[in-house]
Amino acid sequence: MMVPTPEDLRAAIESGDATIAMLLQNQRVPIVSDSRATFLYHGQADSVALQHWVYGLPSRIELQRVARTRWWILSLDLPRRSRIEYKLVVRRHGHEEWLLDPRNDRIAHDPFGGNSVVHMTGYEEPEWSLPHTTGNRGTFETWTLPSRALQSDREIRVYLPPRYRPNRRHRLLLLHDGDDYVRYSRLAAVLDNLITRWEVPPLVVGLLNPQDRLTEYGADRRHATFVVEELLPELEKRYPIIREPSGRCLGGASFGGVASLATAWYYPNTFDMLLLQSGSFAFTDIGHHTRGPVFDPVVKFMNRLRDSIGKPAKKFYLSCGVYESLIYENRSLVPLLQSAGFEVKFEEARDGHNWENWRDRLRNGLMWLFPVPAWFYYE
Amino acid sequence: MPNSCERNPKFQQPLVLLGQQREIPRLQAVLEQRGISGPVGLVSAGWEEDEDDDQWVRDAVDNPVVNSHLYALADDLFQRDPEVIQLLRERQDRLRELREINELQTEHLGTVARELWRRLETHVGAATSLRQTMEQIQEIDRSYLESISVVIAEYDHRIAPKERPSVLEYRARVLERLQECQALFIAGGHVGVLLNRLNLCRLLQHVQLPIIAWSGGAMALGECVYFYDHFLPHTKREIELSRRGMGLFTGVQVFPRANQRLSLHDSCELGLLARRLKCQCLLLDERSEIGWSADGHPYANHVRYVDENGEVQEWKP
Repeated sequence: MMVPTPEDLRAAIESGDATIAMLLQNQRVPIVSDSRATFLYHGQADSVALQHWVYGLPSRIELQRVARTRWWILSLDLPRRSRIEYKLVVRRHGHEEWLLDPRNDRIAHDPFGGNSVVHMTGYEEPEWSLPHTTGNRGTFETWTLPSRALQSDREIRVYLPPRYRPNRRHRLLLLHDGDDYVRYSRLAAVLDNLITRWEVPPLVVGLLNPQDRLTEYGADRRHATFVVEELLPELEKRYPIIREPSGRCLGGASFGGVASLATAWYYPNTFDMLLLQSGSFAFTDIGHHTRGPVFDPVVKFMNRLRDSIGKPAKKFYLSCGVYESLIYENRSLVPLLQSAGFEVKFEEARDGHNWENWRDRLRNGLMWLFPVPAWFYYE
Repeated sequence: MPNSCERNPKFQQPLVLLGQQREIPRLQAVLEQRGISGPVGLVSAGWEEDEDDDQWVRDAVDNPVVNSHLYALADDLFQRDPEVIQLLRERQDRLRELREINELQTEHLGTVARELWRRLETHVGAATSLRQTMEQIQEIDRSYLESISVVIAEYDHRIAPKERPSVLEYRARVLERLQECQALFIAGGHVGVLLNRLNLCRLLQHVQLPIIAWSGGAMALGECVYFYDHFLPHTKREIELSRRGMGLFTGVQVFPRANQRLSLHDSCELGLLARRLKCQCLLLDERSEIGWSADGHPYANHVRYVDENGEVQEWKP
C-alpha cells in the first residue's frame, strides 16, 4: 500500500473531507514511512500539541492547522525501530485536555492510565510476549505476610510456572511492582511462553507490591529487611526453591530497580543475579541533584554505592531506553560494575520509561540471567 | 546437492518424521492413515524430569499411550550402577572439549564465509574462495565426527551396554513396558539427552515398530545432529554439529521449528547452511510430514528445503 506523504495529506485535506477520508482508508495513523511519523487530529480546537516522553526533544510539539480546516498535522523524524508513547493535548476555550489519539488503536497501559503508541519502521511487538491459547500456563497463589520491618501486612502473589514440581528445587525471581509487571508487561504470558519453550527454566516468581512506593523503593533499608529477613524465609518455607544465592534473582524497573540494587547491596551474598530495568540510579559527582526531594535517599544511596561498590550480586542485566532521562545514569553504572569484576549485560532500546519497553527486554534479561540450554531443546 | 532421501535398510518398519506437535498435534491422523489402533509407546526422555508430563500426547490420540520411562529408568540404573553415569559424564567432558574445538574452527571460518558471500556479486574470486572455505568447514566437520566416534567407541567398550547386567536390566524394563505397543512415538526436547538414553538402552535396535518422531525426536533419528537458532539472544549464529544421530535415514537433515529458529529471509545464513551440509536441509513446521512406507518408499507433505543460494523451496523426495 502506498504511504501518503505529509504533502499528500495536506493536499487531500484541502480538497475536502471525502478526499482525505479516502486517502486514510486502511491507513494506520500516525502514518509511518521509514523514519518519519505523521500525526493527525481532526476536531474543533484552538491548538493541538503532541505530548510525548522522548528525552532530548521538546516534550510538547505543536501540530499545525491545515488551512482553515479542522485538521491538524505534524510530521516528525523519528529513528527507525523506535517505539514512542504520546498523547494529544487539545486546547479549547482556554481549557486543555490530554487525549489518546482517537485514530490510533495502539494503546500502552500503565498505572496512570494509558498512552497512544507509534511503532516506527523496524519495531515489532515481540511474538513471545503475546498470550497464546496453546501451551502450558503458570498459576498464581496469593497470601498475606505480616511485616515487622514495614509495620504492615503485605499481600504477596507468587507465580508457579508450567512444569512446576513440588519435589524439585526451582530458581526464584523476586520482582518489584510485580502486579504492574503482570498487568502492563504481560509478565504471565512472557513467563509461560519462555518457560514452555525451554528458553528459561521454570521459575518461581514472587511479586512484590509496595504501599508507599517512592519511600519503600527509594533505597529504604526497612524494605531490604522485609525482603531478605521476612519474605525470603517465608518463600523458602512455602515453595521448593533453591536456598542459595545462585538460585536467586531480584529485579525491578525504575524505582524498583533502585530497590533491587539497594536490597542486594545492604544484604551482600543473598542474590547472585539482578534484573535492573531503567533503574532510577540518580547520583551526583558534586553539588546537589535537581530531581526533587523524592530522589534524596536514592542519590545518597547511589553515591555511597559508587564510592564502595561492595558485592551486591555476581550477574547484572541492565536495560534502559535511549529516550529516557535516566540513560546517562544507567550507562554510568555499567563500567562501575564491570570494573568490580561482575558479569554485566547492558542493553539499550529506542524506547522510553514505560512498561512495554521493560516487557520487550524481559526475554533477553531472563535468558542472560538464567541460562538454560535452549540451544539443545527442540520441542 | 543429491536428492537421495533413504531409510536405513536395517530398519524395515514405517518411519514418519513430523515438525512440532505440541500446539496443533497431527498424531491421530498419522496413526489413522497407517491403521494403527492399538497402544502406542512414547519416548519422551528429551523432556528429562518432565518425561511423565505427557497428558497432551494422550489427549491428542484415541490410542492408549504407554510411556517408556526411558529417562526415569536410566536414572534408576545410575543409582544402582553409578559407574555408568560416571563414565557417561567423563565421556561428555571429552565430547565437550572436541565440540568446543570444532566450534572455534567453524565459527572462525563461518565469519570468513559470510564476508565472501557478501562479495559474491562484486569480487571475481569470491565464489571460488567461498567454495574452498566451505570445503574446509566440511573437512573439519568430517574430522570432528571421526574424533567423537573414537571417543564414543572407547566408552562403549568401557560401559559395555550389550553385556553389562545393569544396562541389560534397564533395557528389559523399557522393552517390557513397550511389549504390547503397535508403534512408537519419539518426542523432542533435549536432543542430546534423548540420544544418550536411546543409545544407552539400544532401544531402536531392539524394537521393531513403526516410528513416528517429531521435532527433536526426528532430529535424533538422522545421520547427524545439528543445533541451530538464529534468534536466541546471547548465542552464536553458527549452526553447531553436535554428533552422529541414530542413522535411521540418510541424505537429508531435518530442521524442525524452522520458522521460529531460522532466519528464513537471510539468504546468506541459509545458503551457508545448505553449503556446509552434504545433504538436503529440510525445513519442518507443524504441518510437515516426511515418511517411508514399509517398503522404504519415501513421501513428503508440506516440506520445504533450502538451496545453495539460500532460497527456500518446496521439497519432494
